[in-house]
Amino acid sequence: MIKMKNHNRFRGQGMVEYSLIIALVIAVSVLGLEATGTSVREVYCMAVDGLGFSNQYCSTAYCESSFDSIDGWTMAEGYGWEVREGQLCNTSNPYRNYLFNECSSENLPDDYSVKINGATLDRGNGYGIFFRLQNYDDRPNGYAFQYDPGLGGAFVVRKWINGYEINPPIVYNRPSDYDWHGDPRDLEVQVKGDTFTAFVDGEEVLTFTDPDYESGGVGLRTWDGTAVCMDDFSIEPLY
Amino acid sequence: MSLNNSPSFESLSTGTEDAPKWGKRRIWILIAVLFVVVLILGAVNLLQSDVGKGLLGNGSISGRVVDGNGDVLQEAEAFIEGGNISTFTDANGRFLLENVPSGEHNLVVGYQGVGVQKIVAVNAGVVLDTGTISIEVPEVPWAE
Repeated sequence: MIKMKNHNRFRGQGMVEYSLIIALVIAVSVLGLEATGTSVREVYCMAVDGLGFSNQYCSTAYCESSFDSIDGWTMAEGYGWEVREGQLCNTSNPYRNYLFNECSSENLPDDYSVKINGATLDRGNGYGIFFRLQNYDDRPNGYAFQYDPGLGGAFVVRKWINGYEINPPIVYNRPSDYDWHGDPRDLEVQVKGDTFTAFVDGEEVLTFTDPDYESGGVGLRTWDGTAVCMDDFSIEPLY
Repeated sequence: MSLNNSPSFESLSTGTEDAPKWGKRRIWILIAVLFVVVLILGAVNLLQSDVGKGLLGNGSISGRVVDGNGDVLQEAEAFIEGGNISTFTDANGRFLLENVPSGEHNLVVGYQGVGVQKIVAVNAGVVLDTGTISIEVPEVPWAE
């Protein structure tokens, strides 16, 4: 008598199968959120906040300054930066002036939002915000968004390589009938992947993509007789 | 299938003779294909690396730098982005970058804080002449 092997043994799911099922559900959930443009971090942070917990991962700002002092900033090239009545100012010298935020050089994520509130250009040809900044010296690499009345009145982004600002600009926008001097402006630069978007007073003024600089910090710059003062500075998560 | 060609019960209880050999052959074919793919990817990666480019040999880049008025610029800096090769222009505004690995590079030429960039393709043993490069010299001075 031939004894046939029983190939029809049934078994239930083990721990490995359950783990794979759970991992698959998580992966599909994450992909679904990303596909709808919803950040997983945002959902997580909203849930944490709703439960009443605090979490450093979800803190509102990576770096911030209300300019009570110039502490936390490194001056490189030029001079003229000072804190005056709770504002950071650079008042009218003819040179190029760089000021780098020290906090942004320490463990800053690749993606973030830089905000400058109450920036008032009293005179001169403009000021700028460095982002994805590498080298906190007089030879920076990175990008600079510029509020630039001196360039025929334009919002501009330039690439910087080893301390040289590269011509031509990566992108620019010349709005007509724009008051460049005298009014306080709120600036924001959103840095996400290889896409960068600048806002002035809440309105998008330009956007561009460039793959060259994948990480880096934040700084400020002025040039050519600029006199500008700024109220607040922050680098915040970009959900 | 005729009854004479049908497998016997004895052979069914231990599996047909062909199945195990064919399964092993598939696995070896798969391993061989994966090995070849990894080999190709590794070779491509090596050729794109600095080591690979060095193996392919070095070339040179030359050029002449002028300002917006066509006047030559002395002490303008010419360098390869991301590399450690740089030089400065002479009194005639000319530069020669040597020992540049073969391949595509971003050549940057700068003067007093302003620069231009240009993608160049360097071949081993060849001096690539980039011609005349113009830089709009800014009026904004550097602090002393």
